[in-house]
Amino acid sequence: MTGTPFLEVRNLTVEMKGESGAIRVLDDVSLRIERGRTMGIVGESGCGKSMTALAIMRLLPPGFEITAGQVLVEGEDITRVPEARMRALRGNDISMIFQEPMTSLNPVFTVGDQIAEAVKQHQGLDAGAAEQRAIEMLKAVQIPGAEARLHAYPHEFSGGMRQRVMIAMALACQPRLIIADEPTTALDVTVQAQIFALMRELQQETGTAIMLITHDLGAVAELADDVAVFYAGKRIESGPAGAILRHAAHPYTSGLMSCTPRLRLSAAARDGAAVLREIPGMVPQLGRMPQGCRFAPRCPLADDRCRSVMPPDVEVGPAHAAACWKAETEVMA
Amino acid sequence: MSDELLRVNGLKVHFDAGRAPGGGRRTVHAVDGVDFSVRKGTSYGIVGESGSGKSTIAQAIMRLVPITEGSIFLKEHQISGLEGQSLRAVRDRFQMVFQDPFSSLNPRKKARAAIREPLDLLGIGDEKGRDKVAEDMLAAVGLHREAGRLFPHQFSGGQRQRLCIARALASRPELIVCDEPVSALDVAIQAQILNLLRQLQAEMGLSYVFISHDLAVVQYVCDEVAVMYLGEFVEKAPAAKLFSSAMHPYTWSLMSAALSPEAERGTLAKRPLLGGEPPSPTAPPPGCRFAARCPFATERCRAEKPALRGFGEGHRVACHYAGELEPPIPELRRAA
Ligand SMILES: Nc1ncnc2c1ncn2[C@@H]1O[C@H](COP(=O)(O)OP(=O)(O)OP(=O)(O)O)[C@@H](O)[C@H]1O
Ligand SMILES: Nc1ncnc2c1ncn2[C@@H]1O[C@H](COP(=O)(O)OP(=O)(O)OP(=O)(O)O)[C@@H](O)[C@H]1O
Ligand code: SF4
Ligand SMILES: [Mg+2]
Ligand SMILES: [Mg+2]
Repeated sequence: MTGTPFLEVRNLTVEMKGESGAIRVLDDVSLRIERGRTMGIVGESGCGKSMTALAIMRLLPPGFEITAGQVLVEGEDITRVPEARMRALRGNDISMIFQEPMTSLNPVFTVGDQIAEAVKQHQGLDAGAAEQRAIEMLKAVQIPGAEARLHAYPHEFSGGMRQRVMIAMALACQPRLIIADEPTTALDVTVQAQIFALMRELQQETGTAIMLITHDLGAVAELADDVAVFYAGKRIESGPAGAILRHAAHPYTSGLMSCTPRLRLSAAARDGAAVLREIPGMVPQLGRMPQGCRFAPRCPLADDRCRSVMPPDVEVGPAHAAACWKAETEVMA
Repeated sequence: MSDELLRVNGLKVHFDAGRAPGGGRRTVHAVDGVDFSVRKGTSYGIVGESGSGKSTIAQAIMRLVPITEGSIFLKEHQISGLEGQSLRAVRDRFQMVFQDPFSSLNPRKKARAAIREPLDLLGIGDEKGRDKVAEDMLAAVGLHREAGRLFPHQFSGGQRQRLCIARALASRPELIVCDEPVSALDVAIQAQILNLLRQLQAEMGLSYVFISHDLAVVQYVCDEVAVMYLGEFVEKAPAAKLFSSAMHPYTWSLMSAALSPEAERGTLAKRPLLGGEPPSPTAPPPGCRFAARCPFATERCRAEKPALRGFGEGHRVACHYAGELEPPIPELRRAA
């Protein structure tokens, strides 16, 4: 993992300008996404996962602004490039799948037209070739009767099918990074399983990198090579998925692990005495962040230093870092 | 059984869905003949995918939708037949907690007034007594007694769900129908609410009908579980039995699709996954409703409807081949 990664986010800070001054929604966030790999981004609602994605795409909502840091795409800092360059990057190199597919598909155009338009714009194909490509893509995401469905409108598709269409559109220009923001949260588990299986298969064929935003550690285990854990606008742990899921170094990450209910099948289903641990309290409010470690008010290990001084990011294992005063170094078994 | 609190018999709830293309009316078979009973002090779980009819069962129990057929008893009271004053007389005995803690609270009502609401509506106790109950309920769900002076928007999502639970508890009900009470919450808050529900049950002897699409959550809370598909129960059993020896192919596919933080990468790809999506509830197929997606389906499945059959210890399965099929999940094979 040496050399330039496909995407590197360095010390990214995003602020929201309000009447009472600027409020930080992302604070000094760093992460690397390697070519062809899947990076899972996890954390509780409001911790800044979507903001990170939108900052990378330079699609932040009005009032929000990158105030420090860099977003490097193969070494090029895209926080500074002109909008025209950004538009070229957005369909061609990086594409995004939004949480609610209905809001990102245009209801007045057929699904086929929307995919074809994207490839015409970004890849300079003519109308015939673009339609051919749209059919190919709908087939690739396993939409039955692709030729006929080309002329259907988004509302004629079920939620699962619409999410497939979104994936087809995201893939149509063969991007090198797909940012998927909670792509299956609104779907049934059986449909989620189909979508995840499809994403893995397509990644193996195309070698695209994926940034998967989710609140589900199970989804991370299923898909991710690497993981970044966010808490209250900070990236508090990152590293290889196996290391993080098995030897979480940050108390917040281990807290998340222990409060996730596990399905217990077979003999385990008969011993009824499971107890779910809790993380007490709740996330701090924006603009009212504690002075030291942001997790300190809820952390079972917190001491005076934690409450007064922000912990630095420390290396706890190979490519594994955690921002915690008490983070233990991985012990190699 | 003497400790039976709730009994649902042959419940059907059909909705009119407008004119059919070929003339006549279209009917949504949202709930199409379900039976179950909830014992006092226990939790009855209902799992299934979106649109299977879970919320409609909850609303039928709460008398929020018209019941097409069947009956519902709360102890000796046939609540499905009660109207007006006689319904109000038992209305304090069963309450509901909804999925969305944001829209189920009136934004202009302070927390204490929200919790008092059912008492006010049912005319239980006097002014002072109701305020006292409201404060006790705030404490019972782990909020400050003083929090009663705040408006819903001054609470976080998890705290709002606590408020909804406090409101449901105020009339000292015996039964609480929880419709996806944690689905809108983060895992950390979800764990707090699930533990709170278990603790309140232990302290107050409450019974729950607990609806969720998450098998792991249902397993954590419930004593008995029914798996629902397209308006019908396809399998039901005591929880320990269901999770150790499920027999219905649909239950298996829910189990196969479940994710775990401990699983190896790419686990789903190695599992038998269900294709397609549930058919429309306006025109349920004649045979087994799962046949179109079932990997084991035969001609018989498509033609003849399987009835729920007993397999001992309260385990009932609606599949022609129940007990003859090999579970595609290794853990279940080992148990058998
Ligand atoms: N349009 C907006 N205006 C004001 N604040 C916003 C807006 N969008 C997001 N925020 C705030 O910015 C912070 C980061 O939000 P973000 O959407 O990145 O969270 P998230 O991690 O994606 O959460 P979720 O899991 O709920 O999607 C949150 O505190 C949120 O309330
Ligand atoms: N008032 C209504 N009028 C017409 N159809 C309805 C009505 N309420 C529900 N339905 C339909 O009845 C079926 C069952 O819906 P229900 O809300 O009970 O499902 P559910 O299992 O709770 O799903 P979810 O997991 O999405 O909450 C669905 O097809 C739904 O569209
Ligand atoms: S009855 Fe047939 S179609 Fe239905 S679940 Fe059983 S095997 Fe599958
Ligand atoms: Mg988000
Ligand atoms: Mg529902």
